[in-house]
Amino acid sequence: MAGMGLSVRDLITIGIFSAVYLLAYVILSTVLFTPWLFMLLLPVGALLMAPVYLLFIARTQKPFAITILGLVAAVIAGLLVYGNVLIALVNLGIAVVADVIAYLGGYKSLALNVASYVVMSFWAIGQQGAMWVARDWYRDLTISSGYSADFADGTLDLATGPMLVAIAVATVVAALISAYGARNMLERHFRRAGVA
Amino acid sequence: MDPNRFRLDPRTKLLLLVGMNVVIYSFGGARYLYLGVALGAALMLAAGAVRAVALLVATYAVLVAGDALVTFAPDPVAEAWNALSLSFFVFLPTAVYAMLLVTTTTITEAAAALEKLRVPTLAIVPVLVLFRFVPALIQDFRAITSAMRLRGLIGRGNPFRMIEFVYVPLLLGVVRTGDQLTVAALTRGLGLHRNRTFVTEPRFRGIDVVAIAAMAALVVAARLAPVDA
Repeated sequence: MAGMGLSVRDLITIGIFSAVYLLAYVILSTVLFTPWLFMLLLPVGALLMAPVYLLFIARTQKPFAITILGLVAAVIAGLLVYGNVLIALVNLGIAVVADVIAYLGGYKSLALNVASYVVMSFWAIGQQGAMWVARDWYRDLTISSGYSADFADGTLDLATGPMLVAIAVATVVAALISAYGARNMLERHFRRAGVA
Repeated sequence: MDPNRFRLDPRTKLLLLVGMNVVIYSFGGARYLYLGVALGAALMLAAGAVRAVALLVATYAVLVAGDALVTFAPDPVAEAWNALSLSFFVFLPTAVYAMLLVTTTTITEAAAALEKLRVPTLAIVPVLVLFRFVPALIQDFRAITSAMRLRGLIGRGNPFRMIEFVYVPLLLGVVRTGDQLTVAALTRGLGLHRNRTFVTEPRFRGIDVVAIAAMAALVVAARLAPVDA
């Protein structure tokens, strides 16, 4: 009705779950505000979001839903926080990959939905990723906001190769734990109530 | 006199938000960020969003006072504070324009403006729902956590169970609100094939020109004349 096989109902579901996603990550990045704590953003997010994500898939079960959620979140996060087209494209790309993986299982295969969630858990890599791939850009941004070069370098010292591997491994493990808990939660509370 | 002479077109507000991002990432120095925030605050005042401006001024007062006080604090405290206020200083300039957009634009105005910009319906509906829904979501979250605290279910015991106690009612509420919004939207003809019409067409006025010119000047200045912090 509204296009690409998505109904108005699906679009509203996408809007609501985008709101949950954005709000969760805004709150998380405010709570984890020091450079050290900020390294935990992806793992902590992965630990929390599986019930939301799996419920979202169960409520839509259509191609493009995850992609549009990623698009909306990327544009709004891009305008508010990152201000960088490349970062928004990375966010969107991650959502597209997650969408394709879930599509392969018809949005019904638990294993593929969980795999899709693991990919989507890297959604918020954004500005943090810039600390690895665009050090100078991150340094300029920090200094231009009124901070000393020492502070900028101290923050960038955390962005090492082993740290990147540690974050990636922790995120995947956290996503799997979260998905395991989410499956039980959805089964117990949502499937029986007829909403998932 | 036109009663709407101080109301910016939603498209202008969107453009200003993009412009502020360009200013931030031109790395022109903190001075341009303050100027951008001042411009946004002035536009909010003109639109009558006094409370939002008061909140903004209070936030800046806390940040500046904190930055001054923290020089006397021990190192770990100072480092944590600096990290916190850095994220605020980077985030606030765009947050001001986002606040301007959200607090002074009605949902219908936003819909009309996005449609005029030829954004596809596939993207308009989720975005509008998102902005309409965030305040309700925050309210739900507060109500649920305080209800659970009252019953002694938060603060001790298994953290995974605590997450469940908050998540299940919150997500059920999310799903229910989605159903209600769908009914409301379909009643208003959102699912029709024909194009919708709007009572108030978005229109550029004098204040739009002034605001865009001011932001353009800021972008050019930040690009051409960076000030070292």
